[in-house]
Amino acid sequence: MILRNVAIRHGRSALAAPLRRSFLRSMTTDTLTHETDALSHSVHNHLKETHSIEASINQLNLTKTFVPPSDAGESLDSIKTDYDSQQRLNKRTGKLGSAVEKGYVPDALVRNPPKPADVTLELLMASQSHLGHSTSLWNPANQRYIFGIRQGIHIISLEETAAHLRRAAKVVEGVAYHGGLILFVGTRAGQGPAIVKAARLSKGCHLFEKWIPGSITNGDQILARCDIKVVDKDDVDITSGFEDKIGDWKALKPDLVVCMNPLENYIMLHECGLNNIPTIGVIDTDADPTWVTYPIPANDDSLRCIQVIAGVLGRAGQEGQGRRLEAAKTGHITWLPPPGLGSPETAEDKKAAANKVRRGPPTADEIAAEQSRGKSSKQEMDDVDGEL
Amino acid sequence: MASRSVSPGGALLRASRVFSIPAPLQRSAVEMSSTGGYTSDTSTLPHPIHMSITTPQSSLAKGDWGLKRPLPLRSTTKSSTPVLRIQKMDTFEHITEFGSAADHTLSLQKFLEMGIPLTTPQLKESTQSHLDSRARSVFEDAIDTTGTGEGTGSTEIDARWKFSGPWLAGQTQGEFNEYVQKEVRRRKQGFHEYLRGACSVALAKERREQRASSEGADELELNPQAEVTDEQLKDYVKSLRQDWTELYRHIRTFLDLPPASSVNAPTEIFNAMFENISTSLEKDSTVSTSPYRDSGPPKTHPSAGLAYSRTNSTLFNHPVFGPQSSKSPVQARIISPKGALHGSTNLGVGGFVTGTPFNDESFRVSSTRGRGRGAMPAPMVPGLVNIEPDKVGGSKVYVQPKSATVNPQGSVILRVVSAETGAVDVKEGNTDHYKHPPPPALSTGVRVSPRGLSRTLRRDGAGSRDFGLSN
Repeated sequence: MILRNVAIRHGRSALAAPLRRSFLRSMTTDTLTHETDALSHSVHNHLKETHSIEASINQLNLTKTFVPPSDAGESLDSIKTDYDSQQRLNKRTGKLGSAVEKGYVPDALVRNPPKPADVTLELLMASQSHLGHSTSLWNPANQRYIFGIRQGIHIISLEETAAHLRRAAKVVEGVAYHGGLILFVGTRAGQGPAIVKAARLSKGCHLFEKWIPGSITNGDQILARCDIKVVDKDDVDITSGFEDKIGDWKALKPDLVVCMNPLENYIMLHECGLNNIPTIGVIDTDADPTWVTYPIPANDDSLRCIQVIAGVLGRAGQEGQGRRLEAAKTGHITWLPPPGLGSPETAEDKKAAANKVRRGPPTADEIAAEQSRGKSSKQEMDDVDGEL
Repeated sequence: MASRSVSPGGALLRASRVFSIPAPLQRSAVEMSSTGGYTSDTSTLPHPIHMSITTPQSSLAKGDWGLKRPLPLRSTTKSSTPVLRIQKMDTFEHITEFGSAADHTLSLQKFLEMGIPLTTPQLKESTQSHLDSRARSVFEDAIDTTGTGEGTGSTEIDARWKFSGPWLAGQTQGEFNEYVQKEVRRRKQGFHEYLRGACSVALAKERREQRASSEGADELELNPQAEVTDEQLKDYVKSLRQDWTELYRHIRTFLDLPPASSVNAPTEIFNAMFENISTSLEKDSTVSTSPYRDSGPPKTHPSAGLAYSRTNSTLFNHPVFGPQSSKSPVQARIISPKGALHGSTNLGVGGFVTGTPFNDESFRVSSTRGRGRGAMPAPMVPGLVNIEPDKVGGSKVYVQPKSATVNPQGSVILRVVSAETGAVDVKEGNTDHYKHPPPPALSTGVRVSPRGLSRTLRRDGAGSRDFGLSN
């Protein structure tokens, strides 16, 4: 029984035509005559074996009715006529029937997110942005955003949401225009696609899994293996000249963090506060609006609301980036390179540096500059600690 | 009344779908019983108290119900009837409380499939003799009105189903005392003013009658605005104390009480005691013709929104056998055979529990106690007497639903009769033992007009038997 099955399973390959004549001909060259002879001999043997297998298989009951597939298919003429008739049919009947309109697409907000100009009260209400939390869960600091109580939950005012969302969009656009690095964070289940889309639009970074504590305050350790690249004013990678500097460059810090669920990301927001990184957060009625710099009072549980907010901010970032590149084309550069990066190293620079090392230790001026920079940054951090 | 101006967002929110979810009704109170009722927190309630919510298939797959948060897929996508009721939009535990609303939703669907109209409740037998006892549709104009208007006559009151006062006959003693102490006492002054108006009307009427008898003057003098002195009012009240019928009419009008069941009403007893005072003609006028006088006025519209058809007089057109004399029967589940529960037999028809058709021969279950065993006629439906444990899915019987009523407690009272044999056969497809009518013989020599052919068909085919079958 197994043998029969084998015959049926592999019969097609066993019974197929062995080798094409054209293939044999192409291999026949003057220099390889003896090899081709050997090949043709082996092919002959193979044919013989195939015939013997064929004979044995044909004796089987099941395969007696089996018709081997023939490669003598349709001729080219019939294909052409069929194709032509099909085209004629399409042309004559294509306009008949009813037009099928596009139906409701649930993830349209992710595929084609709305622009900041598209933010309307209707859109916000349709995306459930007004549904706050149970009245027993509220944070009184959100009182100014709350419209009223209905069905046991607080209702967030649509006007407040729209105004704060537009302001946050302006912030994102401004940061993108000035070449800042924007980090989109949404660590709840289902927020991933919207977050990634927003980050892609605004050429930023995204995080839809756990925030590793210390990624900002201890970034040199945690993000040590992350890649850094240097780009020019038109966002084209500069591949040479910065290898040494990038090698021991510190981990990057975002210039703006957009957080969709501040309640679960308090540590990240705290780190941002320590490092003077502005934050935008979706503040539901149970969250503390002082955790973020620019709150957006809205429902942080509904995925549709998160998709709208992330989409709007992503579109704003896209607009800012576009404007930045436009300005760069006209020669107006809206951002400054980080201090200490300098111009790309050339061969002469390296040679000069080598001479400098041979000559002696760094001068007192350079050491003083280094120390003052370290002190100042430390001073800043202390100030931040004092404020918090 | 000027409407408060609201912000654009507020106006939007007011029109939103989430805001239009009505507040849940109270659970119907458990009946007071010394034996302890069969109550359960999870049982299907007699009437729905939450709104049923559903969502498109594409959104259901994402858990998007338009609520505070997406609902969990594991518990919502497995059901073949994804209809939910929302108990709480958000709770302290950060969850949306929901449950399946498939029970009431499917019951409504089955009810609509049965296609039966909602009728007025049946009146008590003793009072039906001299009145129209037919069950009428609740949508008939004569009994479907809510307007209070000026009409205080018995016909206007009998046409209404909505009253602001309570149904006194349905109140317990405690409820009645509370009503008298809290509501009625508060309106004492108002009743005095009402009586003063009634007194002036009565005086004017009296004056007119006097004048008509003495002079035969015209009726222009009917002026109820004449000032009523305290003496006149006192006399009028005294007269009312003697005439209970009139007093009750005034009380009922003032408190807007629904019509009472008149059989044991005090006026009836009074009339019986002093037959010389009130004539039999007055007695008839005090009996309310309202269909809700025995069961009490309904809480909602008497149809309760279950169905909107006025009549049962529709024809079932079978695709093969043509128009049928009775509608397609409904398979009912025999819930409790005789003696299993309170000695009554209950059927479950389309999600509603009803009794057996009591005047039907096939459902008659005779008791073995009074008679000898041999004399007992076996009922046609075996599952009615004993539980049939070997029946897969339980015992079933075909019935024909006739009409339904929603009682003031909100439960549906269904009336069924036994299904006709032919209808059951058509429903089940057991029509092989019926002989098909022979095709009409067309003699070749005779010219038959199309009209003549149709007449022949009618005589031979569908017209001869009820179900288009002949045996």
